[in-house]
Amino acid sequence: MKTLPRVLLLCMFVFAGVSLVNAQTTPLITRVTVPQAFEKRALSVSAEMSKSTGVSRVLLYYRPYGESEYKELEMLIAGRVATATIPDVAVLPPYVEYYIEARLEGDKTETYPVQNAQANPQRIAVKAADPKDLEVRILSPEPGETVDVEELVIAISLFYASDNVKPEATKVFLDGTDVTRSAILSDDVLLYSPKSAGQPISLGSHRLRIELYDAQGKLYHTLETSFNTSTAEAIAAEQARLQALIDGQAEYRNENIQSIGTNTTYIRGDLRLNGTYSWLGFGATTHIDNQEDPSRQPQNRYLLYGNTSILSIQVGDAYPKFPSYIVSGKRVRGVSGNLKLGFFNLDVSLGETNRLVEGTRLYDTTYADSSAAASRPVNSSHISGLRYTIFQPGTFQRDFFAIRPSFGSGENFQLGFTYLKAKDQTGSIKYGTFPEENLVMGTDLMFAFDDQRIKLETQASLSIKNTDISKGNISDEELKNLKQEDADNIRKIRDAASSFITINQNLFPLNPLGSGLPGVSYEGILSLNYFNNFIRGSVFKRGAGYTSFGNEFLQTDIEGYNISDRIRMFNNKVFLSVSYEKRNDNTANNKIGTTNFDFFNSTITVIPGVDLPSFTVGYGINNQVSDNKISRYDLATNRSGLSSADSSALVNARTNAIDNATNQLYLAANYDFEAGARQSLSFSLGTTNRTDNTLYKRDQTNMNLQVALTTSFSPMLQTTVAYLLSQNENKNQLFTATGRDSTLQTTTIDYSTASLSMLFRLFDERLRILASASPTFGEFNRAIARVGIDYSITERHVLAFTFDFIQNSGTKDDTIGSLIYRFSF
Amino acid sequence: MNRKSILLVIVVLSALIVSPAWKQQQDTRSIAAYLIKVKNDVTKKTETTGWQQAILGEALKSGHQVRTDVSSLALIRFADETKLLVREKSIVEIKGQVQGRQILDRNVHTTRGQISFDVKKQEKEAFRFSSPISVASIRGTTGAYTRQDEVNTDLLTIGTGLATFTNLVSNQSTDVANNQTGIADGQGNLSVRQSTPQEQALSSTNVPSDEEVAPPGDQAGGKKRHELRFSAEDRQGNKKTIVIVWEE
Repeated sequence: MKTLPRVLLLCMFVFAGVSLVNAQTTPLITRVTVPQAFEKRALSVSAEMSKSTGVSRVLLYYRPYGESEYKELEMLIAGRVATATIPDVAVLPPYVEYYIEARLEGDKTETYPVQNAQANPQRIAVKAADPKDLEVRILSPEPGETVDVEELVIAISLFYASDNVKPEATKVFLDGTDVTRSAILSDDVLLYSPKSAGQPISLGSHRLRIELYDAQGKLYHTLETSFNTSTAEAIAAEQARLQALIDGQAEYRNENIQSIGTNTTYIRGDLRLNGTYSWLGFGATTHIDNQEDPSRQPQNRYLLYGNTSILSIQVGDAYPKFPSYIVSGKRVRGVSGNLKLGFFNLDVSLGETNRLVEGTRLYDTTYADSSAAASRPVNSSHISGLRYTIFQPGTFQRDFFAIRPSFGSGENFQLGFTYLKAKDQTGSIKYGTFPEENLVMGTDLMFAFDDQRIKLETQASLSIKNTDISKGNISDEELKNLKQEDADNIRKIRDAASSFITINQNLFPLNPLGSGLPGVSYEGILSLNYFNNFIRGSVFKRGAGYTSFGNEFLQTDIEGYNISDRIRMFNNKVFLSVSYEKRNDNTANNKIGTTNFDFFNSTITVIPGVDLPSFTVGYGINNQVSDNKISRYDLATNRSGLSSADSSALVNARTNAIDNATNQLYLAANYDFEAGARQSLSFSLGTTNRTDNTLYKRDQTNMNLQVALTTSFSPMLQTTVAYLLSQNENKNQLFTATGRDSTLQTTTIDYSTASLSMLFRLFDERLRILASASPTFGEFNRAIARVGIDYSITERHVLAFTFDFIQNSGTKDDTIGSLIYRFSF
Repeated sequence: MNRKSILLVIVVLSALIVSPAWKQQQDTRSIAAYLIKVKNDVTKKTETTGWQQAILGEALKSGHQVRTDVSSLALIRFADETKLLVREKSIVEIKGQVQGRQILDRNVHTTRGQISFDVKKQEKEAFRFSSPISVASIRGTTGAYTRQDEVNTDLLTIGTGLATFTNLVSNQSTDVANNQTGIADGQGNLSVRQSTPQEQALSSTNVPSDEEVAPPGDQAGGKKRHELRFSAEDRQGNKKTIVIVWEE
């Protein structure tokens, strides 16, 4: 029987959808799907997990090219799939780096890639915007416009075309038909009116292709766009009538994870409504999940919204936008709105970011005396006398308010001021510890000149946090214990500031503007886009005590600068990118030592043209060196003369010692060619080599090789064969008991995954049958097989069935099945 | 060096000095703009013709005029993507010169009505809106220029950017910035104030819907507008349209 599943697996094939599928398999995350990435377009990343049971959070860490610091995004978990969207500003050529971290119950984590993920991230190649697109301007119809077919005139401006372009040679194709002969070139504008040319066109969608040629008659550039035509009456009626689209899905999923003994059924539904009525846009989204549980943060989502050209309002679960150091990717359940007048704008968000979750009463206990009671754990509440209840703390309801008035449209100038206050409601739960409060104030300024070729963006903010507001403001009684002068000063501060934040001994940092500006964060970014160079420089600092409850993932206690240049060469066939970043921690000089980070990266991408392979070669080096106080100690130092505190500090210093250099080499290639059928071959090789110069010798080497070949035999049949090899070696100098030699421990984790896939498209794509098999060998011995059927009942109603079989080595096998009904009206 | 040689040198040097001017004269040509949208009754006039029905896609050269009637509008675009939306009951004249791909100057002259604009001005270019009593030198991008001929007053609203607004009667000038409206009248007065939301809305060059161009009811009293059109020719053979508009 054991061989039957293997035989079945080998007979199955992989569905190789429309998007890039990374073949790397880890114990938890089985597949990461990323669509083709284009410059400055938001990028959706989805990670498929072998199970969702026991996964508390999944975080996507990403960084744009040239930056050493990762930004975090919490991925939205829906069943076994976690998704997040990398914002458009971070999607820059030549690539975006990312890794995924799943946080599991019991404080465990797993990453993708599985080994040394931070130093050895995955890369998503980003296709650069072609500047030649800007040499052709479509004056009419405007992008996305629906025009009256009787009034259609196509006007194409070559005013910005390069001198290499011969305007007279330009060709215009409408729906694939060459209409150049009927077009008139007037100065730098090509005009074509189907009506005047006696070439009436139909109502509906049309494709326009413009081909530019140089003086030698060679094709210089091609631009494609589309537009819609309709009748004047229909357009007028369309503008006036109510338009609404409803779509959604209902899902039933069962995960029988026998390897850990769980069997969970998920039932969930999504419903979206988008509508317009004249000048008003409106809509609603709902996500209902049977995993909704008052003992967890909300799984269900609700949102109602309405917008006009100057005002938008969202009620429900919104993700308001404010300067990134203050609010970023935070879900606020309440009311959020944005007024945009241009000269004056206002962003407001009011609601809660944490739902109250009552703590759990564990047991009651009676202490022997008041001394023992005084040293009771913090997660205890008084019943009577010496009797207390010990509890598992819950989560307080956290109220959130942020407001940002700003001046200027943001096209060339904008000045904004942001105020944020977030406060835990102390009475919201009975069993809780350390309710907190946070106040952040900031300003941001943007200048742009010369069509945004010169752009300066800055933001600065000041934060203060109260780590325990359970007892409220410091009382006059408590002030009596202080010196008179101090008491008077604190009383003045309390009376003046307590309406903004609770004033007591738990404020942090006590002086946000003190040494090292612990409560201050700032950032300035200057970008210049001239002469085929895109130069970007930034300086930043985030204070050691800086906290914003609107962006809890922000790395603090860091300062530095970054400079990068992206150069386009040889008619955009070669892209060279270089970047350098330097930063350090210990901004308040209160740590035992300072760690300096240097990060250099360089990449060259060559795209020679159609039918030729494109490739990217990258090299980077990352140095992390702590100063002498940490890294230069050695075990031979005589510690006999040290005090106990110094001795502890020394041990701590050794534990935290950092002195390493990491070299990264990256090679990737893509080649589309014909060989019996249309073939698409992709290859990537990444190596990471870290040398640890501390006495721990924690050297690491990683090598990841991926090859995939997708073959389109016909519109009906597509196959993909892929192979991944991952080799990882970690070293560690182990120190044992006194008097014995230390030993160098070496751990290797090598594995490989092969995958075979096939996709059938039948009955005009109404039926799609897909199957996959991806066995993993080596350190992880497992095989995953998937069978799926998508059937379009009608154009707007689709049924999708998938079944996954996961064969685990040494433990029971898992099965996961789901049925999804998608619809739209 | 004899006198002939000196004369030759002077001639050659003079020729060299003035040659750029000759070249400029040779390369300078009239600016061109294009009628991209025409709604209802829009007519065009050149130096050689009277008012004639405007044709979609037609080129407008320097000196050409465009007139929009009641409930009509015209969208004019230049090759550099500059956009002019000529609203109802307006008359505008396009003037300007181009040298190679450098637009030397552009002037949009109006004797009545309203133009919303989105200007992609080149660095060395002078872009102006003018009327009998004012000139607006545009240094920015979007806005609206209104000529109220019945009260002899001009309004310049700037959505984004900056303009210098001059009253030609008094020769006073002032800057009009983002979200401001400058007012020039026939008495020589010139003032600037914050724009009203209605004025700001007029800064948009988005083509309004038919309903907005010709509202079904009067905005003030909710009256319905009726319109009768008669086409005819004058003694010179120019096409004329008689429009009778009444409300009830």
